[in-house]
Amino acid sequence: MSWPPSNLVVWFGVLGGPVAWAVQFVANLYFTFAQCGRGGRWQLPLHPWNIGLSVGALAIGLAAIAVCLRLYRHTSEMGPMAAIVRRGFGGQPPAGRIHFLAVVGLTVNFLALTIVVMTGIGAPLLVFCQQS
Amino acid sequence: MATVVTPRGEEYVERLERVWKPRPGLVGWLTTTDHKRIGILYFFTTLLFFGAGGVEALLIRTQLIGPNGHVLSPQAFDEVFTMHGITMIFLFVIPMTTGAFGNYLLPLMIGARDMAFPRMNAVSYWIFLGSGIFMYVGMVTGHAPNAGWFDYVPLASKTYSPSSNIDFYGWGLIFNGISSTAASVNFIVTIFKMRAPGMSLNRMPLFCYAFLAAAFSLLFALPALSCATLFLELDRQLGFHFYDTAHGGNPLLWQNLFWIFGHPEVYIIILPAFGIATSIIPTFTHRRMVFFPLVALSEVLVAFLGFGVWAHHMFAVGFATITTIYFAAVSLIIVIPSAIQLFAWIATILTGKPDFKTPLLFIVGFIVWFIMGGLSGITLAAIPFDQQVTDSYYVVAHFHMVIFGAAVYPILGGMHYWFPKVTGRMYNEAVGKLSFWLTFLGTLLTFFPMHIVGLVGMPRRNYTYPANMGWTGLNFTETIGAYILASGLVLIVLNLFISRFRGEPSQDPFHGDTLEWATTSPPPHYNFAVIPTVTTPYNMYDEKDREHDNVRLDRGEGVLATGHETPATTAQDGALDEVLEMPSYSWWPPIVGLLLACFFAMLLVAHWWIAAGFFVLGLLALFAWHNQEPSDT
Amino acid sequence: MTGTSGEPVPLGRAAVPPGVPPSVHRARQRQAAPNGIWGMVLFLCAEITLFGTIIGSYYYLDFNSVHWPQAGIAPEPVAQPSLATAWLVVTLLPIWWANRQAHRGRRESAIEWILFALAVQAGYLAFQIHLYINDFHHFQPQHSAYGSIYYTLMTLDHAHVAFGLALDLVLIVRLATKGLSNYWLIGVRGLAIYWYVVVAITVIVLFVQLTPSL
Repeated sequence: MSWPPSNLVVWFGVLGGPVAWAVQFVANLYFTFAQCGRGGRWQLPLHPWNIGLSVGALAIGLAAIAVCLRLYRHTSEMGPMAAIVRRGFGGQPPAGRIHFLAVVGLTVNFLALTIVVMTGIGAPLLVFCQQS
Repeated sequence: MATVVTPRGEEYVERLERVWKPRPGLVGWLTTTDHKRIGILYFFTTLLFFGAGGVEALLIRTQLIGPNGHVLSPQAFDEVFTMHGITMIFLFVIPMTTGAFGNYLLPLMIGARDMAFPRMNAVSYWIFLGSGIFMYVGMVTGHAPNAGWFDYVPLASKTYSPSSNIDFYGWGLIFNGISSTAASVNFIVTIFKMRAPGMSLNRMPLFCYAFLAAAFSLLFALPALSCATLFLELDRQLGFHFYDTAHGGNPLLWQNLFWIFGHPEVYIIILPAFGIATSIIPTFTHRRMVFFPLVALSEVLVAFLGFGVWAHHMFAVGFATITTIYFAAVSLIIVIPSAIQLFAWIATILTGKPDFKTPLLFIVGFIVWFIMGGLSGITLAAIPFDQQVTDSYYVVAHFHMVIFGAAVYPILGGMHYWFPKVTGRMYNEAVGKLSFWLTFLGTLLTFFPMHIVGLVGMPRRNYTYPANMGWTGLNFTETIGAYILASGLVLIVLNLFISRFRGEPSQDPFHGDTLEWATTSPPPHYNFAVIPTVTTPYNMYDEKDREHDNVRLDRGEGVLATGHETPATTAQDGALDEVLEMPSYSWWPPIVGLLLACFFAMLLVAHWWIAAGFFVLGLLALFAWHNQEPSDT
Repeated sequence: MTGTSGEPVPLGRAAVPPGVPPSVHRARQRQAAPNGIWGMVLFLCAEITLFGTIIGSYYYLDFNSVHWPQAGIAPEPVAQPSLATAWLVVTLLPIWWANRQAHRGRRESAIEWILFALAVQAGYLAFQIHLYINDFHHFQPQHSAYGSIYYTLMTLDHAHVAFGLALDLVLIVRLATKGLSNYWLIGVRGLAIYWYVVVAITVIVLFVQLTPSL
């Protein structure tokens, strides 16, 4: 990969999954409000929308994880930047900072995707608009 | 370990002393833009509000000490529990953590001479003070808000609350929100742009990550509260129908808007406490924090995910399950970053050499209550269980464990930890330990029985209860606990107050690992004689960097004594970018604060044109403020 | 200044080339956006969130209503609000150009372009107020929740445009009287960002306003 990577690439790696989750969350929520609201004017295919949005969010999150893995390998102790990145995440920027952000991104994306998967599987199993 | 000054360095220090000398007396305090003075103003003001909120708590507990209590009438009880909640959340814990601790410590911890926007920092304080007085005028005039701190409609609508009690709440919270929004912008820009050269994101103290997360949460959560209260006041004052079902409105809109703010709010409350804990633990265990990047990301992630859980406060309103499932999922996952931090703190204590002085005792107490409150929180994330215990004392127990136990304990620990930094004196350690144990016992006796009494059916917000419900013994215990707790807190205040004048002189008793300990105690007005440079995340442990500071002071490098100067750095890597001129004092912040208070007072009494006049005056004052460039002062 | 690892830490005080205002030279030397721009961007984040919340409330009320608009109110005509908003979008060009001219040190040109933008934006606002009053003759906010949310959304949007006009005026006066100092050069850039965001919000508000008509 080209070095140093652009800010867009690094921050996509960190934030791609969480932002994708946020879009999936807000969109699905409003679809349920529209479908299940008292107005009853909307007849939406909630389950296909949910599955579609979840798959989309999953794809973006996985891409973000792939970016983070690449950055992590490049900046880890065995990678090309090993001489600059010190143990303990305090290494000289930009390599040290990118290594730190790669670890952050891996964790954050994994958790965001867990939520996407949980709701992507759970919501289609539910009956539309049945009260809890 | 303050910078060692050589004779040549002494000349530079003298120049800094001259340039940064504050105005004397009351005028100096009124016109100050110094983050340390503003932090001290916040500290004492919030402490007063804490006292008020504490008195309200004791009134509640005294009323509930036994069945059929007559200490407070039902109407007075409503006002007291509402003001207790509003005071503790909006007038104590948030301004104490962000306003007092954040303002005083953040610039010192990142090696800066002030916040990014010093005058805006000052106006945040004056607006906060104005909003607190505004809301308490309601109490003094017998019109305190009385529909609970979350003020649900239709109870809060004009039909069911015709007098001005709710208007003190509605306008007061919008007023208060302006202060917090301004403060959050200031914190974010300061953390990103004012760090010491070399302090890249991976070398930033965890305290800064916690405050950054809290600031972002404030920025994005407050608009929802402002929107909700604006709609409420438009309904009440001008006959709009946002929440009125008869005219197409929806009362659940209030609940949604309020909790979109309300849940991030609780993370705003607790994140600074996490930051304080992550500062104290490494110092008192003499080792670096375990899992440093995971703790940093957890602090930010908790804030981010906190925006996706709000409807877990509404599981009983009748949403479709297909709606609530999204919130239940996030409510379960949000436990993970909190757990990461807990494991990190516990692992650091267990693998270090813990020195159980008062600050660390309070942090251990915080961990205990955070676990307990967290466990009850996980149970509440399960929709069927939540629907059984909603509006019972179980919920009261949960949020007091996490807000009092987990947010206030680090504040108390932090007060002891940084007391030598702010005053140059040491508190009494034996009294500190006694006050901790009294507080701990009081917390246990007050809040633990609430879990049980809630599970056996006692509802919250009832001004009394009958004798034959089996709740009497538990309520009695809670009230005794509340008085023990109060005595512990009073002892803390007395210890610190007396030590302020009679404590042993002390510069750096605990050998802290962040940059605030690199300067004298108390710090000079310019914070650092030479702007520190940083090459590791544990800035004080790097002795080479600190010795290099002395060398640079001798050479006059990084002293920046031409005017009120401080460096600005790049956001990610902390590379030096430019030298900024900072304002030194200004009358505009208190003037703008006063005009805004008059504006909201006129809104309260429905004098719209006079309110508009004050608004215009406020805008003119803002423009005049910007007429005075920082280099002019 | 140097760090202990020998990393150069430049102070950024290189000599100002002849003919270049010091503020413009300083702006060119910077690697990162100045604090004032960060402040403006973050303030606008709060405003975007506020509008997002109000728009979210609009659709929440919509989805929970059997009829929308409620109470027999006719949907908005599409043409006039759309044309007015297009007019406002076009004013981004003189604002963008004014910022560019300021960053080239051309103070008088920057003032002229801001003045031009101000005139057109004021015309837009006057027309919108005319439409607003027209609406008011047909339905009031006190009639229904639709009226309440409609007028609140429109009033807040127009208030942001009005505040932008005030900012235009302040910049014009300050640039004319105080010159192109560092503080006011950042101010011009902040003004431009303010208008980009407010115009984007106005376009979205237009879409919301016209949803029942589409």
